[in-house]
Amino acid sequence: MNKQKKLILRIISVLSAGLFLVPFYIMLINSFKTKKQLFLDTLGFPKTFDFNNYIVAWERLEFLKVFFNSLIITVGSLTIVIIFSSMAAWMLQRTKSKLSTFIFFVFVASMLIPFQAVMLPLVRIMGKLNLLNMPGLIFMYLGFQSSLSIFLYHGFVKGIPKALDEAAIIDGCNSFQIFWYIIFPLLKPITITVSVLNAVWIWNDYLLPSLVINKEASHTIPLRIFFFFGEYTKQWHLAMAGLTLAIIPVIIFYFFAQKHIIKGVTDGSVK
Amino acid sequence: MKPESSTNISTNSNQRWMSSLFSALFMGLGQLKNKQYLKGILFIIYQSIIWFINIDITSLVLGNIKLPGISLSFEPFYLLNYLQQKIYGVYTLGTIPGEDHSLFFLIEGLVAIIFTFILIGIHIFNIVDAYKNGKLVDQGEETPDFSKSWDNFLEAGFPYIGMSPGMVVLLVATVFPVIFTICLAFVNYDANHLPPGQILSWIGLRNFKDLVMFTQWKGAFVSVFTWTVIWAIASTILSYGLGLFVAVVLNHEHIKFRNVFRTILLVPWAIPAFVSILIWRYLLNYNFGHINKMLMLIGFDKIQWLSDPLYAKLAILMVNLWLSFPFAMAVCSGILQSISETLYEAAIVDGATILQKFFHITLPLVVRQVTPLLIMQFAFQFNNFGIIFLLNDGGPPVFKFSSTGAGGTDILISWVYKLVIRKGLYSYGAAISIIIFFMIAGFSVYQFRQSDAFKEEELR
Repeated sequence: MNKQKKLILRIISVLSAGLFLVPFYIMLINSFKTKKQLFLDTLGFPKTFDFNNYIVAWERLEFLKVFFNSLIITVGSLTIVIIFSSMAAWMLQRTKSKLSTFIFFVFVASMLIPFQAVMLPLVRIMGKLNLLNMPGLIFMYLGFQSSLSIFLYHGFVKGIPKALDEAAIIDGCNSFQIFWYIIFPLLKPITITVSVLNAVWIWNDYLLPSLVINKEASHTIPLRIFFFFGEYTKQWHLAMAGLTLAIIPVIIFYFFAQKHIIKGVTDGSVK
Repeated sequence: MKPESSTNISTNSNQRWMSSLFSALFMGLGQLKNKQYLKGILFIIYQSIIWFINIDITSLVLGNIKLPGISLSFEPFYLLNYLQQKIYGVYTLGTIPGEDHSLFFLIEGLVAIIFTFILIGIHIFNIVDAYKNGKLVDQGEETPDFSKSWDNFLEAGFPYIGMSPGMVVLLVATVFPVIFTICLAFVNYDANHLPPGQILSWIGLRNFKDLVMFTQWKGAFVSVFTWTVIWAIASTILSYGLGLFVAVVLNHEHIKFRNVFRTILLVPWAIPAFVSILIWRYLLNYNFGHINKMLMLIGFDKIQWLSDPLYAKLAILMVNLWLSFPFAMAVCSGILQSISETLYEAAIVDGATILQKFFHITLPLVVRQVTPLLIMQFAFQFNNFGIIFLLNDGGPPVFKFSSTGAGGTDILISWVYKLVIRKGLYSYGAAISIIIFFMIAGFSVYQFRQSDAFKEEELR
């Protein structure tokens, strides 16, 4: 391949990568402009970097509070989902009976059910059980996220030789110890995959919190941002600053866990 | 095990059948007959409570503190009558308008049915237990004593006990709402029949019939359904087509900073979709969106991206391509890296061109691995509520379908959302949900049959 061709290829890739990020560029630059500036010149670079929009958006979003709400819900659901689904997958895989096959089938089949189809009855039932709040939300995430997690764990547990379990039994471990000290550490790669998939999904979910959480004090980030965006449709500079704020935690997480995320996503899909 | 005992089964010994019969009549009797006294007594106590005692949850008041308490009273067949009454409620859905709430009749009835199944399950377990131990007696063996059978029970039951919290959640969050939705599709729950004001009734398949018979509903249904299928196919093929193309380009050894590009291209995946979609909504705005501004800069007219039905469809496909191809690309580059170099080297020796290498080596290998993912992606796009709802709210509104609420870019699932949340047409929503479910289930069953996970399940 000659040099010219290489150069063209490189230019094309740089350009397309650039074009690809344009929406974020627009969001970022417009978040620093005043309302007037944004109206006159939407594409240009801001003349002065004005952080005022961010201060206003931070306050109106109550960012710290909604951030911690999101954090609690994500970490809480994730912990429960992982403990439960890894344990269940191990038990389902090791117990060979018709009942366990049936249970596994029910879990897998429940992956197919579109959430929107069951949301109304679900909200009614949850309302009756007095669970339309943060604990209820975590509970529902366990119900919806565990099927995929069990499915992924189940495939992985197959690869762990049963001889390990048996050796542990001979050494006098009870079932709980076998799982906690022997199986769970071996599941680490798939645990990372499952955590990443679930964390991204739960953190970004809008629909379920919008149906379940009705107290403003327990809003999550997506929920608050959506209200904020609706309220400030005429004040794009504030809306853009709000959106940028919402992205920052995700970007930080992304750059720390980038390797795991890409691996998690591809593994999760290929299996 | 005594080896000689198996040959010594006396022909007239029928302990197993007798004790099964005893247990079927009243739980625990069979166990008593098998000389497992403690177990038998426990079963008898359980059965007596179920059959003869009315358990009422009351509150005990101690000064200022309220404590939950339980009051027991003797009332034969109280629980059974109660269950029967609740299950009958599913059939009638209430009788007094304004007082009986049909939905709660339905919910409580379904819970009663599930509860009944559990009771029956326990009873069957009891009979099976009596049969097994009776068989031991027939074979002239000792029946295990209580602590031993308790240990056996724990050992066999441990996995299920461990799974039970998850099973309960699954039951409450998925299985039960699904049953409820299925029931809703067969009652007349709409804006004219709102419990508790009116009593709902079972109307069979009428909701489904309405969807394909009434002119306006039929038109809306056919149009939404067609667009859903087109949308799912087009967005799947587009995202994997572009994803594969970019992956092949990035996999080329002459590209420097490959990983930097890959990271950049994965940014939209990392950014919460709701944020990107809202940005796109802003960019596509007719009056002050950037896309129209750029079009005007290079001398074109403004385009009604969000309010013209055709352009709205194009816009939503475009935005979805932008959102979903990075994922396809990540998958494809994973597959590309697993293709052995030697294949390409052999091809070069044979004098293959770049295109020939792509079409004869890369493409077949990628397609083979990616097919299950395509089906999964199709199923996902078929129900991709988020982008339809957040970008354009399913709009623009279509005049001729105005009473059905279906918009120009609505797919089935977002239409269900509108029918249920905004129009109060719950039964139509439930009927469409069932149709969606069967579509998705069909694809998924097909896919699971193809994939390894279930083949192994079936073989074992």
